[in-house]
Amino acid sequence: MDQNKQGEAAEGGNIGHPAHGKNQEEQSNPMIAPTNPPKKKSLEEQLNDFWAAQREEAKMTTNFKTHSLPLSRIKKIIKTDKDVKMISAETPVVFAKACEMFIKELTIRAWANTEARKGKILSQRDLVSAISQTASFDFLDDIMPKDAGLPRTSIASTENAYLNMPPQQNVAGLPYDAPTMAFPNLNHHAPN
Amino acid sequence: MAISLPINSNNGDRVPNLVLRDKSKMPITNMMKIMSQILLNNVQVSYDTMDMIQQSATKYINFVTRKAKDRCQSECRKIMNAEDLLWAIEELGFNDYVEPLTTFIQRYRNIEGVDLFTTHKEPISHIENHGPSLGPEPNLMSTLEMLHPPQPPQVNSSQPKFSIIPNTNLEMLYPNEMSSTKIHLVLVVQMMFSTTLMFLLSSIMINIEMIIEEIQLQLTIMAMDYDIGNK
Repeated sequence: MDQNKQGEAAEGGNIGHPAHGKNQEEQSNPMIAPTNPPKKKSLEEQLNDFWAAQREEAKMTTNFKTHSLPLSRIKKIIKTDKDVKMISAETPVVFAKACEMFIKELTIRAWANTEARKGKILSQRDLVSAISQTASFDFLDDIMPKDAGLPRTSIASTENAYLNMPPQQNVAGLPYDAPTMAFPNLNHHAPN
Repeated sequence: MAISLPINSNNGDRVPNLVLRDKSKMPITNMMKIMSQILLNNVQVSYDTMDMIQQSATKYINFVTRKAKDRCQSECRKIMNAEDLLWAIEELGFNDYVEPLTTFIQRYRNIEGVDLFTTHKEPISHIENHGPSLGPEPNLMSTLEMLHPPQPPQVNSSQPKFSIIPNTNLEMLYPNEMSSTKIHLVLVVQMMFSTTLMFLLSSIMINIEMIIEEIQLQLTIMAMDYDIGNK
């Protein structure tokens, strides 16, 4: 992780903006014993540092040609909503940045749970716990596994309805029915 | 990308689904790079977790898109722009995202705007621009893009027309087939018409016979009444 940070700082220097001292603050992660009582406080501190770093990063960004996520893929996901007709060219760029921050926030919260249970692998249980603890992540409830307690449960993806074609109906031929004409039966009463 | 269906029909439904499912989600490699900026080098992430984060990212974009679309429709606009996204993100509870994104957008417009006016380049080279700005608030720094391009015109394949040269003695199969088909159609139509006509006539005859019988019965009854009346 330190190498990644130094790489980013070097790239910043190459572009022309000198690296600020705040980059070093990004490397400060609470790696002390996770069983400390101020566990939530450490998570809050991580998030505060994360958002401060995001604000600084947004100010220092100068390369808009390369994106962390492919714009064509983002456009296809946006296009799944049929009502969306036209979007401005900057919309996928903004989505790429927002989605990147979303993934990072999700990772930070999940990793905090991993540290809390003294684990070494970021498992699905940590992610489920992180999602359930955050109010703004309520829209992810439908993709969470039903048995959230068990780790490594497979998530069944929804079937794609694009290939389901409506069945063709054949027009039935009209049968020839005989026109039936019925005459009422007359009562034959002979008057006396 | 053209998808060639294999001969085995059992696999025919699987390949397109895989392709569509793969393209409608975020690529895992890009997400791994993003997550590696947060986690340490020795941290491992299970496959189920990556799949879940992948679905979460896709769901996030759909979620924000729906909210932004509502604002576009309420203001009778057809073009979704960055302000709609910021509004949607704030409405959905992601307040911390707004400030970094606002700064990001301002810097993006400043830099891309300069490039746009000085070097005459497209703001984003791999995005195709279609037509001028049609929005009520035209923004020179942002270009439009059609999400639903018009479908290519289908080639209308019509049957070739043959003309028989009167001087030629050669007999072509296709004209014969056409003649045979026409004759067949005429015969079928005539048979149907004749059958229908005969059926209708038979019905009429039956009705007439029934009426005649009724009349005769009435006459008999009247004669009997007359005889009784005289006595």
